[in-house]
Amino acid sequence: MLTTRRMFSAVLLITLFYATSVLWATIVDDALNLPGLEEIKQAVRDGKIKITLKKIPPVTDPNGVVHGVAGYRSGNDIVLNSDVFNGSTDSGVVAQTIVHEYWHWKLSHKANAKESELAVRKKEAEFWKQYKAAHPGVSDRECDLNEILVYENGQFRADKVIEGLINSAYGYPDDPDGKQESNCVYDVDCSSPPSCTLSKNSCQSSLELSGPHIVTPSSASATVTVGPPDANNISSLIVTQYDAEAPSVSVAGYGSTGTNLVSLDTSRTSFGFVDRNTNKVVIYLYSSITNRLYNSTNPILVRTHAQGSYNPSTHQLHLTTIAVDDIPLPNISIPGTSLRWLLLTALVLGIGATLAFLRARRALSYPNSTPLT
Amino acid sequence: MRTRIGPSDPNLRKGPGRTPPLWSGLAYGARVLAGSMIGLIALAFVLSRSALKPDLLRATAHATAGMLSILGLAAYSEGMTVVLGGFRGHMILECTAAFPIAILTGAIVCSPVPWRRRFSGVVTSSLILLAGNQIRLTILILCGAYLSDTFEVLHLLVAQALMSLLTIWTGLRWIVKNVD
Repeated sequence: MLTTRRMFSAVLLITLFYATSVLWATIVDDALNLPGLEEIKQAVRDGKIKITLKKIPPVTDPNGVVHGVAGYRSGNDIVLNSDVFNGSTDSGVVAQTIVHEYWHWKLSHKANAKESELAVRKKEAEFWKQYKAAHPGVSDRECDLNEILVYENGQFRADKVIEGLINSAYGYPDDPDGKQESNCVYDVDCSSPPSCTLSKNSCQSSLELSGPHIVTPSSASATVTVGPPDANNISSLIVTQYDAEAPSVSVAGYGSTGTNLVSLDTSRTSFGFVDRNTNKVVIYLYSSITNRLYNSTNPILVRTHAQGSYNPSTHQLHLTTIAVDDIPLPNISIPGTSLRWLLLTALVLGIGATLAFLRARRALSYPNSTPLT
Repeated sequence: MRTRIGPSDPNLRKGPGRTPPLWSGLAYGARVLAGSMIGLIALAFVLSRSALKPDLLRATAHATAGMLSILGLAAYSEGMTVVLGGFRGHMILECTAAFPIAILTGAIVCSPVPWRRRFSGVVTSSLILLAGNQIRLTILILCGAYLSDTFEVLHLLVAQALMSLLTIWTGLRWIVKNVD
């Protein structure tokens, strides 16, 4: 029977949890006082963080899907995947990765701040919002990185790079009409330091800022060669011809062809399916860059999918239609968050058990007192 | 009908020298906490060496898609992923009820009650947590598909807090009824 006392206890418990959640969120939000670009640059100048370039191998999730990694934070280093300059991607990946990993670094060093993916995303979104607000008229990314990438002593000179890359993400402030080209593909040659040669390969027109949006499906086509499977049943997929006005579609890398699944390793998270029966292919490319174009405050990923045919005799995929629509972020793995909840649960359970035990003993020791149940 | 020790039980009135109730209570709380942690660690250890993990995730995705289908929605599962409209929710271990069940199992098993009651407690609690978790996942996938703006907060704060509350409520309810 639901007594007033029990109701009171239940309300108290729920209130306690709600307060904990709010407090938690407040602590996480505490570091939202954004210092902006200057702080990142200063941190690099002071040697607090270092930006380096490395070849980062792809990772495979439990589904067997291979994901490209744009970058990560390792201690005070922000490591970017050299593949992000590899011709198959656009410059915005770099800017986003630097800002994203910077906030991981920042939160990991801030007292009372929780380094969680949620917190980083919040700050990242706020960062770009502020940056955009400080540069009115900037609406999109700028293609040309040629004059701002400086490679010295095995790493990019960060003050130049960051400024340039962030400009590249939202265009130069003096862009008169605010209509920069976006989704550019670059060829980068860093073989002769200290400078990298960067040449613009192609740029596509801007995306719409709201989805779902179908991008010129009739004009997009690509031919992808599927290599023979290796010992691990992994086939390389190489774009041999690509002609599309669609944004962000670039296919290169490896795929598992053991079943109908083809996992494409690009700088974007991507995968594809080949139906061997119908020789049709559907390729999905998740672009965290176009994500920002669509919605800078919500973690919306953009799904780009292409359809076409697979020719088993030539091992070629011919992509004939390419479309882009936006979907919410799939389940995000946030290391630590669930663990904290579990530990909190165990702790509260332990405290509750103590209290329940004491109350039971008290009721037994003093039979005239209010019974427990 | 549960069995309780009567107030005339001499063990409860040993007089000077008996263990103070406060210490007994604290000791029991510590046992529950330790049991919960051992349950968590044991589960993590078992799963890290078990081939059952993908099956568990697939089953969770399948069950969630099934619940959505019962609601008349065109949901389906692709391996460990639940698809509803344009939303794809990928199951990870934390999506399952495995960890809350491990906590409660540890807490119940280390409680000083007959083994039969411990066993029935583990089974009943597991069923409650499984059901609660399925409801949580179903609501989350619905929110992901139709209220994507709220998904992250619901997923990371509200749903986890409610699951935690359900775990605590289930555990305390069992303790209050069974542990004297």
